Amino acid sequence: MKLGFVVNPIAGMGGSVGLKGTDGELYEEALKRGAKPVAPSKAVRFLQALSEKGFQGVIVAANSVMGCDYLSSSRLRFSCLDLPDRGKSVTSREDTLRVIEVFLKSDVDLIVFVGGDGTARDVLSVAGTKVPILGVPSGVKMYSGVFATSPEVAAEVVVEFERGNISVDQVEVADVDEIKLKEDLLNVRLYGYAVAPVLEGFVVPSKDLVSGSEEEKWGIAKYFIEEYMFPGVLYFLGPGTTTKAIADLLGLKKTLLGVDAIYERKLVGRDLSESEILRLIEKYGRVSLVVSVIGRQGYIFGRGNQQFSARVLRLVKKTDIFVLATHSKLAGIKYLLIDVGDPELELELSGYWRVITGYGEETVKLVLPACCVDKYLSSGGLTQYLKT
Amino acid sequence: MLFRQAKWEEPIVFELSSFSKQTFLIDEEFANEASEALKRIPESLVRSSELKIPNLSEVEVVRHYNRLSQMSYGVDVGPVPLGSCTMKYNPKICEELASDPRVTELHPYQDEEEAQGILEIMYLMQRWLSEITGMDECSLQPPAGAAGEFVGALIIRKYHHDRGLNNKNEMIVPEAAHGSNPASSAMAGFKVVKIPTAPSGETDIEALKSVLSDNTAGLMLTNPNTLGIFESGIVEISDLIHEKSALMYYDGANLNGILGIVRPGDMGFDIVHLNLHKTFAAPHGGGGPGAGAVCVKKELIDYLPVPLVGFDGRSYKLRYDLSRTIGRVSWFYGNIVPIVKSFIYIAALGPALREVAEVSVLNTNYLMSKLRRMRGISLPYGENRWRKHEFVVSFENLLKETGVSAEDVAKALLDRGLHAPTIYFPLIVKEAHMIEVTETETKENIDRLAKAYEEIIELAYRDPQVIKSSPVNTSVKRLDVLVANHPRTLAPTYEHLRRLKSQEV
Amino acid sequence: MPHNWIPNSSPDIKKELMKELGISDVLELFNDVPTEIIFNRDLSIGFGKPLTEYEVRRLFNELISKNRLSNVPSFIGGGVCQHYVPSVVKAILSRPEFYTAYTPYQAEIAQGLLQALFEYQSLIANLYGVKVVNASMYNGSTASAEAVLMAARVKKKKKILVSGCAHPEIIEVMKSWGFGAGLDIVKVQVDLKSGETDLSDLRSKLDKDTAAVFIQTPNFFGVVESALKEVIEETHKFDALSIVYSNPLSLGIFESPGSLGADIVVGDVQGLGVSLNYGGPSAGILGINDEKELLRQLPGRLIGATRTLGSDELGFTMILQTREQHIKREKATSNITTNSSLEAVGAAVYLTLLGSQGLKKLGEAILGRTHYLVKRLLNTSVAEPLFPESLYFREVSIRFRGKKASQVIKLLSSRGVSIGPALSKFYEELSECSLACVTELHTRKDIDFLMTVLEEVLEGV
Repeated sequence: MKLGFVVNPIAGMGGSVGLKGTDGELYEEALKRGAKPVAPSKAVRFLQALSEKGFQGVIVAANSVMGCDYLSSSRLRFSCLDLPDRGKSVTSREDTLRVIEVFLKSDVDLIVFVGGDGTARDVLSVAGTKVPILGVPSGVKMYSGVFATSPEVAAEVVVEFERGNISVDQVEVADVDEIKLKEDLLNVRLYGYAVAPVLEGFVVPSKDLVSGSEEEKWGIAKYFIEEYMFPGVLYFLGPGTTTKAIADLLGLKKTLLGVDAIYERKLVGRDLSESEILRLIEKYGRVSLVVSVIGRQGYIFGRGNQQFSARVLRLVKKTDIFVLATHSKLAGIKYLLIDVGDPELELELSGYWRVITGYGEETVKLVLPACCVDKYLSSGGLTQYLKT
Repeated sequence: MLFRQAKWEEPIVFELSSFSKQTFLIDEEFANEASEALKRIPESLVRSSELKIPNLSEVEVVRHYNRLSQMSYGVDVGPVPLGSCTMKYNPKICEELASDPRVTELHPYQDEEEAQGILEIMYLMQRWLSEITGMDECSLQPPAGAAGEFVGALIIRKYHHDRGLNNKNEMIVPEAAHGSNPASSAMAGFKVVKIPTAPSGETDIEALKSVLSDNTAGLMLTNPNTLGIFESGIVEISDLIHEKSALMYYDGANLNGILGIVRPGDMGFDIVHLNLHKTFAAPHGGGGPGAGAVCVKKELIDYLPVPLVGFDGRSYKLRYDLSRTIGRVSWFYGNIVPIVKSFIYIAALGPALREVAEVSVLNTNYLMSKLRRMRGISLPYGENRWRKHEFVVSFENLLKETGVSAEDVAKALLDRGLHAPTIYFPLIVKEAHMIEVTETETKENIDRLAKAYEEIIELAYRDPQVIKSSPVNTSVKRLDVLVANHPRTLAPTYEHLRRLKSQEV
Repeated sequence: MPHNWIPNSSPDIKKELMKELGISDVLELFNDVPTEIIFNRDLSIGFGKPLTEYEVRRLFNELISKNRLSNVPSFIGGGVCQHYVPSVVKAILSRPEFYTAYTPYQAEIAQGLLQALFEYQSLIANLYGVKVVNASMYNGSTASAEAVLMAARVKKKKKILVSGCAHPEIIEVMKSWGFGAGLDIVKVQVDLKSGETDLSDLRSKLDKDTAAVFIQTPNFFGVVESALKEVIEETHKFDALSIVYSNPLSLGIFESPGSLGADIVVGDVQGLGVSLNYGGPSAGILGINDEKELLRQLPGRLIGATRTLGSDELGFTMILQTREQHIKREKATSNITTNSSLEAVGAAVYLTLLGSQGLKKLGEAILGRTHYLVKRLLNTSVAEPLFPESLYFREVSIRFRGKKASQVIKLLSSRGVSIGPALSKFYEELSECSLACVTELHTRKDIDFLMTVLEEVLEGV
């Protein structure tokens, strides 16, 4: 197996000095505040674990501080690219992008990067869905679903991937909107979908190469169309691959990352903003929202689909909101979360929801406001929690 | 205990010999008639494609399969603590008596007057299983548990249909249920609604209430559940379901933990299926045959599959007079051989059947008390609850702390001559081991199992690579799953293998 | 109540275990069971007390002796017949590592069982002329139902044409199984002259809504479907799948359905080292030819060959478990888990014991006997083959002149000869007809005896 390995040496530096990232100006700021690099040690831990766990393949690594510096002491087989130039101690986005391009040309089977959401975005922008990617967490921002929980777990995943015990799935690459960031408002944007190894539970051995997840999404979409799509109703489909599957089945081209509207099997709006959504609701009257679960924490509203704002939600009946999610998506998620900046509305929407999880199959999941999961847990039950 | 499994590089039967030997003798008394008849076969239907079945002498066949059996493992060799499988000891008297030619050589269409013996056995089984489950009548026709579930789902469907309640198209199933539950419901045309398990380990009743509606047809439940925990809210649940005019279905896979102590009928269930190859000691056969009985309350008897065995005061008869029967779920009457084995089992134990539940529950909690104290193991859900016939532990912590997974631990158990328990099920527990030792396990073996876990965990912290490279004492080491499943190297028959080999050359 | 099948039921051990748990009564472990549902009396099952092994044996013998087997091997047919089970098969299937094993999920410790099942798959695939066969279904009737569901899933159509000459109980099973998926099972008429599927009726019913055409050969009447190839060709004209149910014992001399173009093959291993067992258990055969479209939809377990990690050593494991996802995607889904592994292993042993040589001889031996019986029936005045011009294999449908078949069967039985079933059981109008079956177990004397008794019993009419 050929593994492409690249490190973003400055990722994660901001955290210790109170910065929310190291992109652009923030890097200079971090240095000023005396931050030290964090990524190199994560890289070393990852490679160490990889060697210990018996990785058999060959590593194609970026040069010097972006990769090869950390490999020289290990027993792994590797080769070094001649990018970035030797002696360059401060690397940039461009360096990352060029390295990924070379990886693709070298036919790597998997790309492992050490970094945060920013790095994930960069990798995604070149790799797209052509090669699976996996992140060793070393960033301040990590909303994307491509990260393992630690360098050691990442090594474990790589070894299992090599053995064919893990399948891949499309996973969100998300990031916090930097502009809004400075004003202390959290606005997580969905940047796209990458292909990544499925990290939740190495299910019983014997898996197909491509995850059964595609089939699951197909089944969900088919069932939704057969059972819940009626004429005379406008359907807003949120971002994600599962909602996209609905459009695919209807022969429509839906945006992967935006909110599109479908009326009687025709596309009547693409990549809609909040105000456009409000206008359409007024125009059509009867509407339904169809969303899927975004990210690994289980958000159904508030991450990646802020177009469905509190104002929008107040105009839609709870029974006209449909949540779709594959089992792999739900694995490890205990509660679904909402965060739309309207506590009263969030409380109203809290409770047991039916999530469509397969053809002819719905799974009940508890929906809670993101702020208050602990409160629920300590209140001893839903009715108790709702009362307080 | 040292364990080394036999290892033979046993060729596939097609490669045992390059010669053609004299095989099992078949007479040629009708050779003339045969050649006359052969001429009458239309040309297109005469076999011209090659029959590539090897021709071997008897001793070669015997040795080949005996050697293969040495590279297998069953309950007769050591414990097989698979959760929800109830791999108990298969008494040899059951094996011997069920192989009686008066059972095996009897044709299903034999006149009932000449099959009174077997019919009486079946009738008694129908009665006994009804008594054990607290129901009113049983059908022995389903050939396995899943088929029994399907029968149950069909009965529920027809029952509502007959009352004009066609909107009742939703079957509620716990998330932690066996995978066959939703599949069987779907086969009967139901929508499946899955409800979560509460942290207590019992079904979340609030979640249940949130999905109960006039569209609810039924609830499929196993009790004790797949965590081994008894649903103490079962009476309340049963009332809630019945209030909506829906039916309660019991998945009998876990009956071993309550035999003779609690009965599903008394819990409020309307339909029950049983796995005779689990609870009632019929052997598992390496994946079958099984036998699944379905038992129902009075109101539903007419819906059972036909035929049932009836008694008219004088003789036993096959009854087809069930006015609302869902039809046949298999040809003939059921998997008779396992049924006979279970019959002998129940006959032999009689009232001691209750001892089965008592000891299986005692054994389970004893093992659990040892395991839960070990490093790296956690007991999610109901940590203060006793279990019944099985329990589920999580190796999540072990994985985080050492990188050794539930699967690795399972493989390490194999190295010690112990079959691994069920792993990665139920899905609500991460890195799960679902362990059921049954009442036929000795204290010595249970201690041995606990000790094995202890050793493995200690090694995991000290030298995880050793565990991750197991098993090494079994016939083969870990297999290449990628090659096994990849479309290019997939090989489900010898022909595929042959072609792959010739491509490599 | 201590019992030798429950080692820890001895009071000392029980006490020890309870001490470890800090309890004094086992019932404390049931304190989470609502008291109102605790069962407070003894189960009235069994015979009042635990029985010793010799008591159980005696009891069983008393019961089972009420079964009466005929002196002569049974002539009863109807999908299953009395065949010979070689001692080798019995010996291998009594190996405890096989019969007390679980499904081989832990492949490393179950290589032997997995290889045996792989060999079963390979042998049957060659016998039936198909690419892939699964590791067994419950029996031939459920395999047929699964085949039909599979065709509906793949073709996304609901109409299934079933030959009216197929086993009526198989058709009933298909209907129950297809109920949830809303399958439309349509019977094709029987050609009353030949006893074969009526081709013109088939053509009139075949249309673009047909998902599959199911045909059995030899069929329920024992008749060989001589137009099998044409049926398969007609089926394909309408983008439907051809499902053929074949008797494995005939495939030593008859062409394999796969090579004739069948897309899905089904059958039952009864007779391949599996006894009658009063109707069960047996193992169902299900195989496919199209690895691209159909493999993903094939239900049941599948064993595949592979290597051990990092070496060239051959090994076996269960494969393609994610087929479940493809199968669950539609209404016409499957739920099978436990199947009939042991019988499948038995069939593998049997086929290996006989070899291509023996299978061919067996086919001829059965064909020869069938032919002899038909000739005798053509030459007697008391009865005749129901379809006199047709070719029969193993089973023969007979019309008795002037007496109800059910009566004839009873009379024959009193003379020690078992024949049947009466066709009135399935077809009211065929009250004078019955099936009969001849296998390798029947000697010429046996068949002559049958004819003699038949003539005696019917001559008085």
